[in-house]
Amino acid sequence: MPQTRVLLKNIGTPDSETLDGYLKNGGYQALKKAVSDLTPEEIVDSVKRSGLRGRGGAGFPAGMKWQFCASDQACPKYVICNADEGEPGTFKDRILLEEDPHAVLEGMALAGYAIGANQGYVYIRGEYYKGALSLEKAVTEANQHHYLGQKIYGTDFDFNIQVFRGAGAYICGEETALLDSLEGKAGRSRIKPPYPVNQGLWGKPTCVNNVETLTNIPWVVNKGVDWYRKFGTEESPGTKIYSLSGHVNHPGNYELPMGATLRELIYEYGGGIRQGRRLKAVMPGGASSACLTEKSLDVKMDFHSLAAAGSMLGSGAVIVMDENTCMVGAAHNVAAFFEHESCGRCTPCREGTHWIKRILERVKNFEAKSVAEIDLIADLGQNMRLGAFCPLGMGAPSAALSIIQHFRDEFETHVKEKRCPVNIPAVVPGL
Amino acid sequence: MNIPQPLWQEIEQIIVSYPQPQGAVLPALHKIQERMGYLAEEALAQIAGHLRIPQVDLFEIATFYTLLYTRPHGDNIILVCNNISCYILDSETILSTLEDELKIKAGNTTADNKFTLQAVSCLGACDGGPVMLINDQLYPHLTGDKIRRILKEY
Ligand SMILES: Cc1cc2nc3c(=O)[nH]c(=O)nc-3n(C[C@H](O)[C@H](O)[C@H](O)COP(=O)(O)O)c2cc1C
Ligand code: SF4
Repeated sequence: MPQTRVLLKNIGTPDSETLDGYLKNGGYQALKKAVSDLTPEEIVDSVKRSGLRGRGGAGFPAGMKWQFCASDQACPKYVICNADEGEPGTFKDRILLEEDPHAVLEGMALAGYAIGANQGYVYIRGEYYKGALSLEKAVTEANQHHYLGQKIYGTDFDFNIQVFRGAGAYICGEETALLDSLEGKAGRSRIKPPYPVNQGLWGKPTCVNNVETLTNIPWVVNKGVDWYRKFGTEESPGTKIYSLSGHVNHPGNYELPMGATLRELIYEYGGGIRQGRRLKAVMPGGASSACLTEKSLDVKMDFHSLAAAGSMLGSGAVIVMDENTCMVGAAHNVAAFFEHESCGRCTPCREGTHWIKRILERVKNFEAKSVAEIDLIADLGQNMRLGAFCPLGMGAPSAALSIIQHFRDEFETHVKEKRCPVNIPAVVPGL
Repeated sequence: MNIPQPLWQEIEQIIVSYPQPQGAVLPALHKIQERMGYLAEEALAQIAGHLRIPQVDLFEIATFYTLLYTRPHGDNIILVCNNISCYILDSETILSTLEDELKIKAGNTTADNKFTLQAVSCLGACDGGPVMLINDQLYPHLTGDKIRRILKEY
């Protein structure tokens, strides 16, 4: 079955990353339509009615965010494109940034017009060299041909974009930590409220949106709300780029209507599990999402359905593990990630991520003395969920807790019998 | 190592491009690192003085971010992803192969100063796992043979 390529439509077309290529694909027509024929209010209204929800992880309604920001009277205002894409298993924004950068810029300019901002920043993670270059080139080209800059399409609307490179810190994807990083500080989350829409960059109203969210905007403006809502579900309209990785035959980015099932994605598009093995666990929304098992394969992959199934859509990073995966190892790996990425500001997260990792390390290395240690993880996790200061710490224990819940026997075998019940053959040839 | 004059001019340009001078901190540090190799104490102190930011704040920033280096590193930096998508495709073996080939532990630089090896969080290329990044070049679907071949190119 073909994918439903809307956001990925331009990918793979000739010179898609250049202005010429983008214009041939109908680029900057939405911006033209907006600044010439539509009021900012009409744009905000369309985005609201489209039902578009943020693709960065939280799923916040984009139109509502824009309205909050538009109605704040303070100025100047800023638009920020969150291109930090640090969630393990996520690689959808990278493709858009590298191969369709003008679509991201057009989305940002439309956001600027709608909320009344004249300056935008793309915060791109430091590891994305190619993406940053591609964006820089696109900004230069768009400026030269007046799709960005002063008096866009001969109107009074000015919009400039600067590309800002991060330097390797997962927490900087969290929007308030991102703001701190842009302001020239170590990136640490801020207390909310105030929200960025009112007090964001340098205390000014700021609209932070994910790359994929912004890439939807030209479509909403060009094709209209009714067309847009034909895709997806009532409460999660549109398409979604799912990043599929792990033990599948064909890992990659797949754009499908929101609400496609996990089974379709893994078996129809991903070609099923490698070497004909069985599926053991799936993390459907990145490293902070609770894992699901075979039983849940028919869940629809939209915000609502995945939450109802006890997990979350997150950034759409679907990580598939086959029957030969040691789940203690997997849980430990995710725990080590969070320990490393905790910014250290609050105790529940700083200590919690550390101890969960330590305990899992003990279990993994057959050093744990009793199964009571496994239960300690649940206590620590509960503390973090309730007491952590920002969503990083609140989401950090989800993977470990859900893995323990589904695969407790594997953990107990490690502790009691000092052995791993899964015999993991090396998968890398030629070593 | 002090910041040389021509580099100052570039940094000045960065500073004026931000509504608030402090916004230029990270771009300036990137630039210094690109030109001078790493962020020497003197260079950080100079930037702090110039932007009127306490020196400790600037040192904190320089040590907070994984991709900023406050000590000299090798001519080539190898970043190996060790997050979940690559991990389940055996990135641990990839890392240990690199450690064996280079005869160093992750986090260190080879004696000939050619390579610095680091294990890092997700590189956003999980469909090509296991992956590594050498400088700005991404290498997907790694195997032992492939690693040995790639290292010879440097
Ligand atoms: C720890 C953490 C990391 C995050 N990383 C990213 C990221 O890399 N990219 C992103 O777009 N959003 C990320 N987010 C979500 C942002 O905080 C924010 O919700 C998002 O950028 C808003 O844009 P959206 O509404 O278009 O999704 C992260 C959140 C948390 C808590
Ligand atoms: S929850 Fe973790 S990442 Fe968030 S502020 Fe606390 S220590 Fe920092």
